[in-house]
Amino acid sequence: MTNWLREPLVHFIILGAGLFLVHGVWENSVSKSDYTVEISAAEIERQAAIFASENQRQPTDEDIQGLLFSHVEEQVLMREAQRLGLDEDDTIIRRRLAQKMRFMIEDSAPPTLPREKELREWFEARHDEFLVLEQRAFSHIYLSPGQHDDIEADAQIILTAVNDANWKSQGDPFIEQSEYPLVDKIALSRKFGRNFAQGLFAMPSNQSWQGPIESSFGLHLVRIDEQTDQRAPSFEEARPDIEKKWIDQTSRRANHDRLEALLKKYKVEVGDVQ
Amino acid sequence: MKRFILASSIAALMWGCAEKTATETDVQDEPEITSQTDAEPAIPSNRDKTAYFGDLHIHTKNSFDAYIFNVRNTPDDVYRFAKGETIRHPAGYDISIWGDPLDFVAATDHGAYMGILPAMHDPDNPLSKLEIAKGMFGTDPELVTAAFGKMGGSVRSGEPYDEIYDRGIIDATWQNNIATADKHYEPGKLTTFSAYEYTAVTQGKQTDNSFIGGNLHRNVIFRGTAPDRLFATLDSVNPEDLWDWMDVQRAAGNDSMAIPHNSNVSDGEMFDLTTFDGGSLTAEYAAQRIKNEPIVEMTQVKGTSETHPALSPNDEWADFEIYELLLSSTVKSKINGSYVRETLARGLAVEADTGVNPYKFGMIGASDSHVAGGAFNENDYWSKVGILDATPEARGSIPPGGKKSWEGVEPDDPAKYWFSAWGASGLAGVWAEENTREAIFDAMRRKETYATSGPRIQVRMFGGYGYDAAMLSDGDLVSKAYAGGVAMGGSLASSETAPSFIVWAARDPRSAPLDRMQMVKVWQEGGQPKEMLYDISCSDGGSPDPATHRCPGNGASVDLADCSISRDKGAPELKTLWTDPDFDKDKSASYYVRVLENPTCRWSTWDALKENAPRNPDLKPTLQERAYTSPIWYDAE
Repeated sequence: MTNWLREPLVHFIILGAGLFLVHGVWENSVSKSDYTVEISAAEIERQAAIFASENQRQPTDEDIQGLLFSHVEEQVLMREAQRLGLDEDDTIIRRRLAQKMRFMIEDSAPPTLPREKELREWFEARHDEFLVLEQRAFSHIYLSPGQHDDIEADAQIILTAVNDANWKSQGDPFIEQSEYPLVDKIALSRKFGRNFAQGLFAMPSNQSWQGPIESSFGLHLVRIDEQTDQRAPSFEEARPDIEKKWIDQTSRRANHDRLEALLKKYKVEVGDVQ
Repeated sequence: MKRFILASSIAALMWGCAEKTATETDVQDEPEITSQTDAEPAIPSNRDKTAYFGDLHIHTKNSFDAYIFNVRNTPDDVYRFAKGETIRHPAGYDISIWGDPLDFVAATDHGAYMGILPAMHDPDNPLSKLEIAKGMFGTDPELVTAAFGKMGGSVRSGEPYDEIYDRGIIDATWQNNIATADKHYEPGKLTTFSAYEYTAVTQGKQTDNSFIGGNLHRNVIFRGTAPDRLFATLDSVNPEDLWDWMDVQRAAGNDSMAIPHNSNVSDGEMFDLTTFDGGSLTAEYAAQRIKNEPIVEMTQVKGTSETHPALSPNDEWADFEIYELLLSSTVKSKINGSYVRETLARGLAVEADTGVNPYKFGMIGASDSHVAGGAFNENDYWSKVGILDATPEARGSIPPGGKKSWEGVEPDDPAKYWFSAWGASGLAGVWAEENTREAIFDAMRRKETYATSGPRIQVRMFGGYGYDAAMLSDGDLVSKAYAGGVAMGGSLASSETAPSFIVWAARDPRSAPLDRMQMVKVWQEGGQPKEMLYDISCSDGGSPDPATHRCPGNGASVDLADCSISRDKGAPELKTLWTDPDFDKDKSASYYVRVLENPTCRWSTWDALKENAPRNPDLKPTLQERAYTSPIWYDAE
């Protein structure tokens, strides 16, 4: 195949010409046949097949006549309705068409990844989106609100007596662990509530017992066992995330651009509000 | 319409062409970077076990019905969604999971005709040239319905529709599903299973070509390896044949379990007292059934299968997300034989007769999403059948046509009968030592599982004879409870004295605080099911009335103007030691726990609030989310 045949522009021109041609023929035939309801042999067979599958028997001649009559009725009513512009007033039809159009412009196949150099540049330009958040590992002593008359006071008593040898026997049993591995603030707030996550990440990371801080479960005395700073990952380390994000953003942008191209064809006129 | 079709096919051609050109010219020439070979970190393990949350019932475009609902999401998307990534709903909006990523998950496409619909829609596949394919993907709703009905009818009857029964495509799709599950399996982080749905429907009185009948659906979950060929209704519509096949596969090293679901719409046949062919139940039947079906999915989008108000008139909370219509119909399902609570009693009766209990099962919940991701959050709900119920209007939560009142208007029939009655449910909780295929699957086999209606409530239950109240405040409560008794799913030997139960629940921080914990006791007398409901732990300092066995209400309320809830009502955790006050040493019984949250807005109320439209007066404005444990059985002599 010669090269020019592979050019998208050539495809566009050929298809565009084809579109005009087909459109013209179609317009022509419609105006002629606007008041003709054609029933092809294929249509009759089709109706008969539906009938047979729904009724478990072949239709008789009367059945067929009945079917075709309702088909004609439907066609006539539909065309009259279109003539009156009723389809444009109908929210359901409007939404359905808009939805179909949206499907059509939204490309479902993911875009092909670019070369590594491009992907690297793309990554360098948005380092911030790939930061590995600060993480903390901690141990905690739980105080259940139902078990204490003065929960704050009990927390203070434990805090003065607690040490790294006796902490496991303090407070109330907790339904999950008493020691948590490294976790970031977002994941922690999903587990314990935002207040607890904010409190824990605001504490000095000095391996002493601190608190109490309140969670969705009650009060906790906590000890930060380990802490890693927020950092920027290398390209290699973040590559799976980078690829995912690139594909996501690229297909989003493409969808957005296609919609925008359509929007640009239209002028919006806003009436005066009384 | 005609103009639209013409234009659309041409536009489709153009896009298709543009795409092709792009892929041809954009060849990648760099070598792939190989993954780093750091030592694998140790998988976290907990001797006292951790509650892992998962969803073992999700469909993708490879399911014949989902494809018709315009779903194009793949098994890959199921695992991406489970990991917390955003995927696209077929109606064009983004969806992502509520809360943490899931711990375990399985894509469970319908085994019958798996992958056939996408092939029929692929112009390069010969199946697309068939009449039925043209009807299925045409624009004539009658033809679409007829084609779809033919397939549904064939799934139900088990008679393959020869033209489209391309076993090569089904096997290839299934093998690809297995490979995708394997690819996403990250021990310690995300457990995936090879799985599919065995979509049996009773033949009943239906003679036409439809899908209507009693739902006998099961999901088949493989512990590790899976065979190259699956067993679907096109092989046999009798679930007993499925168990035979599973037995053979197990012997060959492919262990699996089948998890029944939607017994609520089984027309009384999921937990029937006869075999599939109407024969009487035997010890062999019972043993084969419980070996292959150790747990039941008893809550999901299409309703709750715990119990029904008609079966449990003394349970004030029985009327929860009840859905009773046989699939794709407005025919009511028979109640007896359709709900798990009654079935626990039936199982004891069968055991009294045959010596084996076929219904000694545990509980899980799942979504049954058909869009590759479950909607567990009342406040962010997308229901399940693709474009059909994608909007508040389509699911009947706001008035149709943009109207601002329900005066004189009704939702469309599908919204009225089906979608508005469906719920934002459910999840499976599993107590396991670690998050691996082996640990999660084995926990399900020993029924150390529970179901929730969506929130990640944690609930533990132990039964034994030597427990005392001091254990409740012991830091080693859990290991002592394991040492001195059995966890949920276990059985207690007969005794002169009543067993006691340690029950412990904690709220989901993103949902409402807890209202109460309840014990449901089930037994049988002369073959008749018996039940008793005890509140066993109340929030806000209340205690159950010894005569009525009910907690005083905690007064929690919901403000329907903005769906806010009482801030100072309810408990973050509830914990108690409970002994059966009505124990009878000669009667076998089953005990399970139900945990109730304070009331919150139902999804339909949230829909209306967000759309600034009046909520549907026929729907309950609020609900109490809940968790249900697998039972502990007391086996009398």
